[in-house]
Amino acid sequence: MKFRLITLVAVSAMALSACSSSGGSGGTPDAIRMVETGGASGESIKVAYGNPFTEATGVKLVQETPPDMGKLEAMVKSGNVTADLYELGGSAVQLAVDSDLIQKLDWEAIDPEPMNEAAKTPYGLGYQTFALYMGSLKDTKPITTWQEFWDTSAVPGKRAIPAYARYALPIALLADGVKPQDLYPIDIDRAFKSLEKIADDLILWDAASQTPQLLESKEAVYVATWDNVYPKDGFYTSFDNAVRDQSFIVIPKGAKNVEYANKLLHEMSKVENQVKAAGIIPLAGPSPELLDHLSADVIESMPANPSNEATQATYDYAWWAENGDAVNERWEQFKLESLG
Amino acid sequence: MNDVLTSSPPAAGPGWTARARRTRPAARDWQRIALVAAALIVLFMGFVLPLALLAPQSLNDGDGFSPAAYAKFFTHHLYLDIIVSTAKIAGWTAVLSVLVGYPYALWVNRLGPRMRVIAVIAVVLPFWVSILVRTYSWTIVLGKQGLVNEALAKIGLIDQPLELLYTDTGVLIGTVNILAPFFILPMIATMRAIDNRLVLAARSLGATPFQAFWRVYFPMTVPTLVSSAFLVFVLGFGFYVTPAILGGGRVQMLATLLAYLVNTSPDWALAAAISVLLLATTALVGIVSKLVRKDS
Repeated sequence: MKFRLITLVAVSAMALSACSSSGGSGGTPDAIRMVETGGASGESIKVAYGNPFTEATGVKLVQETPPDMGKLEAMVKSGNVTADLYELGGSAVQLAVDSDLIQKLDWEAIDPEPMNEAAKTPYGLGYQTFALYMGSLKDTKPITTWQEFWDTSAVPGKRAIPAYARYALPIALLADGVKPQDLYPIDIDRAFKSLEKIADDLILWDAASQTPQLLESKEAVYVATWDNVYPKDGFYTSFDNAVRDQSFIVIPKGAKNVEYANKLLHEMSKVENQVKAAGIIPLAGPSPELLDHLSADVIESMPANPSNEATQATYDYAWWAENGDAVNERWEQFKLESLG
Repeated sequence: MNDVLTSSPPAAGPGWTARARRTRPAARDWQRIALVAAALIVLFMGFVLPLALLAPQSLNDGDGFSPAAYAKFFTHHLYLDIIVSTAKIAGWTAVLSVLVGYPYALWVNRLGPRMRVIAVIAVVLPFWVSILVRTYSWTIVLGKQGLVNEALAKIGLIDQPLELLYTDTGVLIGTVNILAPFFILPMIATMRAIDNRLVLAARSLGATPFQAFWRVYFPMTVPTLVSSAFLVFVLGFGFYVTPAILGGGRVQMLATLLAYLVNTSPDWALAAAISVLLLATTALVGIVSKLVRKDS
């Protein structure tokens, strides 16, 4: 008994000292940590950016999921910032800036290779352009607009869309005939009226990985998705009218290894690394030269490829940062009253 | 540790403990406290303290003291509506668990010893499988091309598949499946302890089988029935995974809203305020049900 107690004390003392020593700064760290969305996207980060980074610096990249805003806030406010890099959506970046959770990027230190303007922002590096697009089984009537997606009299059956207002509202407006370039400022009332029209036929999904299953089990005839439903797996997809969005990598306030975080961001700006990433998940990286380096097959498999741009919509992140909370309250109310 | 174990005489009813306390007070009490100290510390640090910290959290809007979160809760009817919707699901889960579980427990207690073990294992076995796996299995069973619909179509009862998945019905099937054991197991234990000769005595005094059950047997099971049904209700109130998956985003539960407020929004003051109010309500319901039980 006594012996065990001593072991216990020794182990906890070791654990405590390990905690405090990992907090020290200066010198080369063993590893830096990134919180990101995981899945195929996480795999692409590991292979395309993490591996070259480790080769160049000898520092490992440890990845963690999911990148919740709450976790970031808890980290920064408690002063125990365990992540050096954090993945956030466009409007979340704006929120994080407003709440003082992330730091300005030192672009001089990152020293990026040429990047698209939209991806090189003061607080985040837009490392991935994806799009919310339409998918169905091959034998379902093919569609190319959200208006057709909404038309339950032409093709009866359920429609699966993301369970998040930020993705549901834009497609609801496009379905109601709003032109992609006229989407902002969002007409909230009109969007909810449009959603009401197909309320009885809506399924809401939490993760895009649910969407192939929803189609295969015939629970839904059409899905709005940003991943996992691709022609190579036997699905029909249309990237026309899709809603393009960017994912950003940011550095939390108080991050301990900013120097090495910058080096990883540098790797993310390299076109040859983005080519590797695009081979794992068909999403566009931030280099303007990227398409010159990709095969026609890969380009065509990208929902956000430029040939679709004319019919697609984009995001106004500032609008969502400002109106997000109010819209979400309405969204919850809508779910409760019209879906419940 | 050994000292405590060997010096404890076999328990001999309340009279004994009372006398022991009077004769050897402090030492024994301290030994008892020492035994539970580790558990108390863990409980305090891991549960009581964080819970207590919710209260100041709910009154802080980031810049200092502010009751804004409570104001928001009471002025926007959304939050109350979601609590009502959650209570409805939790309430139905408790009612259905009683309707399914009570007859099952009765049946189990009439089985022979070997069959009884099998029947109890059938209730306990699902506990060994992760909730997530069980919930996803239900999507396969309840789906349009699932077991239930295929079977009903084969025997010609339906020509259109029933809408089970992504409806309240689907959610309730899932929550009852997962929570009913919390009702059934205490019920079986209580019924086991009831002396069946009481029913026989009632019968011999002229009661019909139904009267014997309703006026003699059933009242003895009521305290467990109420407390176990309440347990199912409380667990159902905090359910997250099952309604989220089987409801297809159509069934709104409080836990989903709280996760949103904590992780995505993030509005910790409002999340904390809702939690404090819920805790207070639950405590109130608990106290009331304790009083009711004391009366009966």
